[in-house]
Amino acid sequence: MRWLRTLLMALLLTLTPAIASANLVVVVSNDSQVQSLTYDDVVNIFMGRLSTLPGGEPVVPVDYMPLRASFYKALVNRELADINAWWARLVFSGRGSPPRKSDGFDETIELISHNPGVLGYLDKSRVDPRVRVVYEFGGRS
Amino acid sequence: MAHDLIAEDHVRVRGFATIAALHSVGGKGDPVRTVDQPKGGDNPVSLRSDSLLGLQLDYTLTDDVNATVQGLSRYHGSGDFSPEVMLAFLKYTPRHDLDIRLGRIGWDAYAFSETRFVGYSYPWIRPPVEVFGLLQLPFIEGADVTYRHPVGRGVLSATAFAGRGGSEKLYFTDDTSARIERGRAGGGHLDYRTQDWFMRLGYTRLHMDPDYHYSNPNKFSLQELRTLLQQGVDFSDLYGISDIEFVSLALDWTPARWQINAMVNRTSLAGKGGHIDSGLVSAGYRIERFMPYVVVSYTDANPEQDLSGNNFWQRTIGVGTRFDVATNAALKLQVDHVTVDGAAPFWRGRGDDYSRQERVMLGLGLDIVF
Repeated sequence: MRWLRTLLMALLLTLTPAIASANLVVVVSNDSQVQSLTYDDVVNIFMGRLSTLPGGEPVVPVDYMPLRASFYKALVNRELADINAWWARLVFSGRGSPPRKSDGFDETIELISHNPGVLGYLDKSRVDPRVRVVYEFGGRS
Repeated sequence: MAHDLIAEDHVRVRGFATIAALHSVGGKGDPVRTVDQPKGGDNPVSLRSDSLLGLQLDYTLTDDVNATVQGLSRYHGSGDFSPEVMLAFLKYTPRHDLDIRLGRIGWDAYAFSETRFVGYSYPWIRPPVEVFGLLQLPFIEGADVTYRHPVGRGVLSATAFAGRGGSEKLYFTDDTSARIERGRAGGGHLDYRTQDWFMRLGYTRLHMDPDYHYSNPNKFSLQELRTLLQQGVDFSDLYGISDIEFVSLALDWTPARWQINAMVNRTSLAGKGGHIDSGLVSAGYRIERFMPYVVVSYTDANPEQDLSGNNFWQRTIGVGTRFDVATNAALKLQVDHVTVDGAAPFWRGRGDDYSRQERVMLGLGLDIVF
């Protein structure tokens, strides 16, 4: 039965990112015109490939630092080291800057709710009426 | 009010550094990282070829104009670690899908080439010398334009650039070198990137007026000397670096924990230089803080006239691991098996011995960004 245990362990490891991401949501201000984003939109914006929303409006992504590792694990299944290495390529070629960093919850939700062009992520349980969920992990499209 | 909330600091100072030790076993000669290094990494342990320090200042002038200045201290053509300004440009973003950079910018001939000195940004202890060691210019002074557009699930970008290089000294063998002043480069590339895939097709044309320096005419055989004399010892025709065309195709596949990179390049030379093929295949697998990897790289010169100093072949098989000791620091250990045949320009102190030889190189390095 060792093979079964190994298989279950492998399955558990594979599912870990999904479990970790189950409570993360991507949000914008309630004043934003954006109603929803696709998985590819979120990846392209947070990885610095696009600086506009699908409608063409400028967007500023914000990393909420306490959830940063979980977010990128959920988004692209990468460790922070890989994300930082990616940004090192963009920063030190002068081609891009990483998302703005935000450390505290209050600061983050203020930043998002007062700026329709800001895209951030939060724990689903802490979403309040000031922000709108535009992408939820687990419902990848 | 809203704008103030999202405003970044106007001035940012960042940096990157590598301290790396190299030890090699077997064969003759000392390895270099780039063709502009006059001395190689000598035994028992050398910090010379790979160690470096870079500092960058980014300044936001307005919402759509940024300035970047980057200085780099590494062992280079002047034979010391004297710092050099690698980047000094203004970036203008008139639209969110368009960037225009004007000033001293990186020479983006190949994927990874703009940040080939930023060790933290790639898995290896150094970018494969067979591919990146041959690049003649560390930067160009000119401009580039990049346009991006979402296509399918990814983003397609097109970049065009043109400019002039600085003053560089390139070493072909222990005895032969060339000084190039303000080489003219122009070209561009098409990139397509999705979450897991990256593809690049690039083309660059480079024109230089090299001033050759040759210190040991006794090295040539009588037959070679006779041929050279008949040619009027036209090094420009022999090496063919006055006009070079680079065609590069890169493909990266990075599903989840894997990081797989592949690249093939053809460098076409003027005169009797023929062409040089180079390439790499690299596969790494992320296991939490470790990324073990294997990388194979090669370069194969095919001159139209086979004379000492322009005919070579080299292949490196490297095995190593990256260990991320912190979110901004990576320790790397890499063992390379190098096979070289002919006068590959990646060695110093080989003398006249251009016979086939094998070498094992051990590298240990720490890359940080700050």
